Amino acid sequence: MIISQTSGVPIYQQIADSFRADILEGRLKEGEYLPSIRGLARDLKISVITTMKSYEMLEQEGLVTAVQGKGYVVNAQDGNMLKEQHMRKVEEGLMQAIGSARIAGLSENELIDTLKMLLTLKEN
Amino acid sequence: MDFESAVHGEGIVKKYKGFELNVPVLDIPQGFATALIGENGAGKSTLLDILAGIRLDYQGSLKFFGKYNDDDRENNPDVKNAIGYEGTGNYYLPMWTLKQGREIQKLLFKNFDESKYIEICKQLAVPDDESKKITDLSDGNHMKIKLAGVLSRDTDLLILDEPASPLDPLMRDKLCDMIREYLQRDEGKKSVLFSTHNIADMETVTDYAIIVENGRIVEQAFVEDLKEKYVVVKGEKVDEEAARKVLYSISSSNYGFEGVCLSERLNELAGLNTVVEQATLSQICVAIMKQNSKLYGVN
Amino acid sequence: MKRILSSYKVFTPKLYRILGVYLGTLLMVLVSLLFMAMAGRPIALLVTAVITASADIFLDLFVFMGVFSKDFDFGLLRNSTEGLKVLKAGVLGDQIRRFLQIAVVMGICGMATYSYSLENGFMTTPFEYGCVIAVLVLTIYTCNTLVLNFTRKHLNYAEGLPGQMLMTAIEGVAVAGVLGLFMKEGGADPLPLLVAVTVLAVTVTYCMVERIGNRYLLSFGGKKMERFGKDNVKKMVIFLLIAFGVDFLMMPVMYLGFQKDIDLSVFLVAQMMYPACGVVLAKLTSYNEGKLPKFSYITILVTGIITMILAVLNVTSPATIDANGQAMTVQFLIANYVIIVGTILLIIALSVTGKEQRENAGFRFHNAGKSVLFMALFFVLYFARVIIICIIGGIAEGDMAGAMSELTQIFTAEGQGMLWLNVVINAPLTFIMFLGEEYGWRYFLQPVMQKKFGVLPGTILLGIAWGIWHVGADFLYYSDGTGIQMLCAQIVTCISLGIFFGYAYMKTNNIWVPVMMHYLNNNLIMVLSGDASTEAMQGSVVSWSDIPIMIAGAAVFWLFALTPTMRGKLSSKKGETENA
Repeated sequence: MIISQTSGVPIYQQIADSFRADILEGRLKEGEYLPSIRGLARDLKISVITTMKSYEMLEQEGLVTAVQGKGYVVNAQDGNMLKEQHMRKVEEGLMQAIGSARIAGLSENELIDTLKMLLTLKEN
Repeated sequence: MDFESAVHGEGIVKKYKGFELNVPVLDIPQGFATALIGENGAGKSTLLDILAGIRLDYQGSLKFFGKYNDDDRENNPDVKNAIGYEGTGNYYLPMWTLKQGREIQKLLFKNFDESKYIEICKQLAVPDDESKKITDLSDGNHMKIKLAGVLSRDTDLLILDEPASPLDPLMRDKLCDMIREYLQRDEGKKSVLFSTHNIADMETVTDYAIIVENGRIVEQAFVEDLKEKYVVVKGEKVDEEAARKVLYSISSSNYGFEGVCLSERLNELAGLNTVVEQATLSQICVAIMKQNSKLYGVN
Repeated sequence: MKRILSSYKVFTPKLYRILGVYLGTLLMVLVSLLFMAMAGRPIALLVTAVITASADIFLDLFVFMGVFSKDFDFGLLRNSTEGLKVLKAGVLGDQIRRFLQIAVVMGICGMATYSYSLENGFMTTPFEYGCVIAVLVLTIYTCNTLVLNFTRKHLNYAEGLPGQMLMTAIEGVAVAGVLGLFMKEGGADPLPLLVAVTVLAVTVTYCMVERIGNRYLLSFGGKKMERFGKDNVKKMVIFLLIAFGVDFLMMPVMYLGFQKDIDLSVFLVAQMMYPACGVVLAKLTSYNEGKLPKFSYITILVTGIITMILAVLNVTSPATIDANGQAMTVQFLIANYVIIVGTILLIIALSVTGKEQRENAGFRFHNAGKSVLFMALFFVLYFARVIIICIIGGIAEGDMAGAMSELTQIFTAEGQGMLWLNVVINAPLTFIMFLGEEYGWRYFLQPVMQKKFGVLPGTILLGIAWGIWHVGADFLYYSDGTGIQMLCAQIVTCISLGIFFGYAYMKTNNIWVPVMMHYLNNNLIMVLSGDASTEAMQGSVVSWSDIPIMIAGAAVFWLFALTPTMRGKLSSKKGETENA
């Protein structure tokens, strides 16, 4: 795991991102435990509270569950639930785009065209 | 965030001529490293001395590990031994050698692990020659043997008074590692409370910050919560006057301004050409101290 | 290994320091008894209270030397259960110490009461007397313990001045109460009340002196200690306490001898050793002095202590013998032998001591050529002074020829040859006395004074201090009824000699130069007066008109105040050594 102190992305975010990828891509399997909070803090030379915050973030996303006295265990990754979660993210991003479009005075069609254009760009 | 308190204090008051330490409520979270931050003379050492039982002349009540009061701390060896204290003073008589310094710890503390002490001394590069007098050590080395002493005891709470100030940058880094290692030892049971007037060195190990100014606690929270509460804002010279009304604290140069803003007031800056960044703990501390310090209060 | 822990208990690893406290206390009791027997009762009581309390503080200084040397912190002890036991034991030890001290003071008060009541038919049996003293001591001790524990718990022992004041008050009231109770049975005589008031005054004086002194010396952990903890301040305090404190303490004893018309010469011998003893103790108890010549230092110290004891014995049990028609006390005779033995031992000690130790102690013979030149110069100037004084005297009396023949007598009169020989032979046998003074004045005090006040003002102030140091001898020995004039003359002489000695020392950095000059200065008097006995120095009558003549004669020394060395700033090298 690579943590950058100066990237501008909060450290807890970087840790959460890294574990999320590990879980979603199957490197961390159901029933496995995340490293202990203080052990990870020690290994990464960061504070305990930062590690804790990223674990709590993952817990809120439903990826892991806190087990009293044992740490954080990786949950079973239900396909639908995952999709739902991702859907929520997509909606969030689009809402933001709509807001900005309103301020810029774009019409509905113009917005949809922009989205299509971006999609083609990405595919190529 | 909810947490258990390693130390809980209420109505702690200690008066000196021209100075008063007054802490209505104090909580040191269990399982974390807490930094007591403030200027010289803000009352940090006094507070630590009160918590560690070095001073007994104070008002107020204390509760340790959720169940023991300050009489237990003085009279119950289990509680006394669970608290490790390291102060800025000179603990050893002038004629003592390093060897005698080690032996006295063995006599004084039943939970002292001698082999660990020797190991930590080695890690911290304390001079090998044990026949050397402790008085002849540099300030840095003196602090190292005191830290080695307190870290090699089996304790649940460490109270360290300015541990970083006499150390060089390399050793400060080692100190941070040792604090993390200590916290990990008994996942979530052990706590560290240290004071510092230079938070930048200890930032990466600080979980909970208590900022003291002139005998009062002016801010206390987990570092991540503080970073959500305060953000850094940078902008152009033209926007300075408008921003000044909103920002918590501001410093300006010929080219622009930089300041700390409460997140809840960020929307008031809409329309200004500003950049918002995450704040570091030291930026937050400086801003808070600026607001509360007597020295800066004049401006 | 347990010894390390116990060293916290008494705050010193050295047993002799503890023993010193109790022996010292015993010595104080003896001194008190001396006063009791020889001076009036109420005055003696007050004086004793002050002396005992001062001695108490002074002795504490040695017990707590380890604490004094650095700002000492009890954090480690307070953080440990074992450490708390040690601290409590320390407090207990402190209480026992106080108990003994109080017993001493109360004993003195009790004795006074006893001897008073004997005349009044009260407390006539030792049993009654013992009961009174026991009740007194127990009352005081109980109060002391209760208040001490209270202050430790609630006011923090380290900051217990309010508690200590309270203790003082309670002790005072208790003494007054208990004594008053016993006194009342004595009858309607108002005098017992007077005694009770005196005793109360004594106790309060004692307690105030001790408590206030302790406040500054013993408030361990307190910030006040920081200043005293500085090594050079500590050294200065020890030096002043011994050089001047012991000097002044011995004056009352000297006065008793004066009243009894005993030969006091031995006091002058003892007195000369105090400054060096002060420096030696200051340096030995310091922790950053490097290697020191222990043998030489112990020789100086022991010589000083023996001569001091001889001086006290000189008054308490005088025995006079006849030495060539001159009355001399046995103690003085012994003191002379002690000095000779001391000097020889010192020579041996110096010859076997390494260069480093001698350098650290300032005993090295630097700049040999210049040093010899300076000694010769002093010899010349000394006689120049004598000649000037003779000439002025001759002019004033209008008898120039008589003055001149007096002058030539010094060299030509019969028997002068022997006196000259005496001066030469005595030098290597008695110089420890002159080192005794010069080691304090020139080696220790001069650099400090010069650094603090500037070169010339510092030297002059040192001269004044040196002069005042002689006050006891001026009133009781050198002069006969003209003490004030003698003291003024002494100060003039000390300033003049101080300038020249100081100049020579600065130029040569060799302590033996002023030592030799001092020796010549004191011993040439015998040649001048044609009298080898100590009578040459005793009982002179000095008139005010002599002082201007002395100043004129001393002009030869004053000239050196004009040299660039004296007018300039202190060279940085000296300043640094003082800082270190």
